[in-house]
Amino acid sequence: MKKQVTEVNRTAMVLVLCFVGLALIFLGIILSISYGTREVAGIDIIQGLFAREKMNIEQLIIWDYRFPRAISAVLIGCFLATSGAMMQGITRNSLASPSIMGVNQGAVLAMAIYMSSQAIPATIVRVFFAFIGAAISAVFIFLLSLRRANLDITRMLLAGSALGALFLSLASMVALLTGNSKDLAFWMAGGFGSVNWSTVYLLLGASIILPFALTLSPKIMIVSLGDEVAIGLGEKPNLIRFLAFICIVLLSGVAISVGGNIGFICLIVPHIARMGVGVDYRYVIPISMVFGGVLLVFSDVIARVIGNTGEIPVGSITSLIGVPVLIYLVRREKRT
Amino acid sequence: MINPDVNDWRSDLRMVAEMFGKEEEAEAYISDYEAKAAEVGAAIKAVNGEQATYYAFLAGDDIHFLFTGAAYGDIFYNDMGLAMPENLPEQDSIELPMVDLEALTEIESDYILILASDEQRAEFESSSVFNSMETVQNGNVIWVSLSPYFNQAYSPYGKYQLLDELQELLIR
Repeated sequence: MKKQVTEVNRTAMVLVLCFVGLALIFLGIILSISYGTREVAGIDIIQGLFAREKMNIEQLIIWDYRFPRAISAVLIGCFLATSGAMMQGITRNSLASPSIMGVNQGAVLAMAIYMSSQAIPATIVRVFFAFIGAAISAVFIFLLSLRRANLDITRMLLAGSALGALFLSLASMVALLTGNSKDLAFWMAGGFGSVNWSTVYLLLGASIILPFALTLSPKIMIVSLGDEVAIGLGEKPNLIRFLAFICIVLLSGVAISVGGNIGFICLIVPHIARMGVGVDYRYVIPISMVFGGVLLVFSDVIARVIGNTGEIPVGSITSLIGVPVLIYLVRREKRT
Repeated sequence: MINPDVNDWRSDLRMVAEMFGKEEEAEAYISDYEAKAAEVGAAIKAVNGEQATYYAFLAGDDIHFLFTGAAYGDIFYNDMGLAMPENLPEQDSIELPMVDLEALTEIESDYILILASDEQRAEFESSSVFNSMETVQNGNVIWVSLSPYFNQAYSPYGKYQLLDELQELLIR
């Protein structure tokens, strides 16, 4: 009876946190839309969001510039944090993030190649290129880490770091030889410079993966207890890892290809979630989903307020917040 | 020594000339350039009007770099004597002032010269915010590619070669 009560309490806690998170996202979007270099009157902000005809330049700034940016920040943050939480669950390693599968590095290499090629100059084509790079790299590393049809996490870490480093050096070589190293560096710093409605639609399309991630989360919880427990409970850990892997590649690949390398969200948000709801991935994954969006939308607002016109990349703000929190968590874990 | 913190091509050219003992040629080159720049400036003003304002920027993905005091800014305002938009952000160091699209919409100018890659140009041209800027609607945006137009505006030889081209580009 007592156990049931705790479970109910926990569910209530998760619901409250989700609600608070969603409220914060709403607040973040409002802040993000209201703040910008050009002062826009409140009436134009509302008109910009709701009027679709005869819009003046200020209303267009709201609708075509600030709003897609705010939505992208929420979705990218949500995707990155979700994929980070899933990764930490299936690898049973709290320092894992999608980058150990070479998602980021593959995207960077693809971007270097894109920049040196004569590909069609359009954001959506560029995003597609980055995504293909991320996916190829992840599948390659996944195949390399299979041992007799079993996924070996140690192998994945080794193959991931080695190939990741190789992709990065190839990328800088390509960029240097073709004279694109500055553009590549800007892209790698991450940000929402190239978001527009077409990338928002892409992100919205990719968010159909989120329900799958939620459905997988109880299974990931079981896998995170170890293969023996999972098999004992009648689960197939390899199948679950494979399905989670697909979700992770899609979510993080899309997020990175739109927003570039935005640091620490994948790593830090699941840790924050664990602080609130414990190690149960049934709760860590949804909480990460919501708070990833919160962290990134607020980081973007902070980056723009401090940077005045946006010369501070949002990635540096997420690192600025993420690193101290991570160090604190590492210290705290040692003591307990 | 050439001071990397200051954009002063004249003193750089004089220094190099001194090393090779060609001071006279350098002075002649500088005064030739100045005379020609003033002439081109006058020709542009004769067609576009004395009061017409101009500015140039280097397009980035998210932030753009204004040539207020360097490269095109230096050529437009100091050498050609063209008018500067009233609210153009100032440049107080060798770093070009950085602005986002929102800030660009606040600069009221009759003509805008944009240095951009094909992708950035396509990006701008598909932006409803950019397209609703008055200068854009009047068709007074001049696009040039990043290479060679970025480096060219900084070098003594490049600047000289630019003058004729600018005359053609800016007279619409």
